[in-house]
Amino acid sequence: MKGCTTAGVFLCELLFWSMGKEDAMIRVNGEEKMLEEGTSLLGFLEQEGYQTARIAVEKNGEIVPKSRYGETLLRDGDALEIVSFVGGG
Amino acid sequence: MAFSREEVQEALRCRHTSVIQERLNKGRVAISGLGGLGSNVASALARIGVGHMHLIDFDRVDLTNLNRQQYFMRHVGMYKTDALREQLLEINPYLDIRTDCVRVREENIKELFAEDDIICEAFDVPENKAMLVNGVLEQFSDKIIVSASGMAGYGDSNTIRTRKVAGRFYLCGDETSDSGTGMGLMAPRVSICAGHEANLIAQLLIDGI
Repeated sequence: MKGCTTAGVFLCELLFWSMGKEDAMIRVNGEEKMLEEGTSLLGFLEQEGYQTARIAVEKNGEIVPKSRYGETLLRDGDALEIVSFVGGG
Repeated sequence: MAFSREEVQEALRCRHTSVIQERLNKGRVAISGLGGLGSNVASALARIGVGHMHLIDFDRVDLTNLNRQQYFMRHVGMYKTDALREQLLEINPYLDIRTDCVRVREENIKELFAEDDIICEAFDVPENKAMLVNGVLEQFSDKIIVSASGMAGYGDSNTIRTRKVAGRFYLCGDETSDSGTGMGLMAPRVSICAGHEANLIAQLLIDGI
């Protein structure tokens, strides 16, 4: 009996651990990207090497205000359109 | 004045048809940045008789601008807003042209563009382009922003294109040719990109979104 409980706790922990690390598939400028569910937009942009002062980001068709990059979390199925501006005019 | 308002209107209607000219006459377009992009966009829109134009730039015409910008020797040293306004009125003296000789910042976007329906981003510096595009999309719910990125050098003309990024945000250019990589900005290719911006604005004014 005791063994069963231990096994149950172990399974629960395993499930919890795997949920916490759940992968999310998002589309960035039309290309599929795998990342951890709940990664912040700011974290993703920094990880990908974007210069945040030179970009505009739309998530699921809506502009993401620059002040909300940190609190915007990426979920499975999200579509990002990131425009990186270059100089000249 | 050599030609009356009616004569100028008749000439435009003769070229464009009355239905289309009515829509162009009502157009309210801001051009933000009056360099190689903005001065060429403004000239094209003035020629087809876009009725209300709002020119914005803080800078003066420099001799190095003449390789691509719509100014002449006599304009060197003048504010770009004044120099361009003077030229546009030579094309059509009956246009309603408002000028603002100011630097666009996140804080003055709301007030500066309140009266405009379409905003043409025509800056040079990428941070300023991003600031205006983000600012317009964040601070207004109905205005359209037409932006440009990537037109330096003398590479393939056909890589410059127009696309709708999403919603009210359109982008023209090849999105890669950076003026900072030793590729100068030159009249032919900058004009192509300006033509893309101006033609998109014409489409939006005539056919709507």
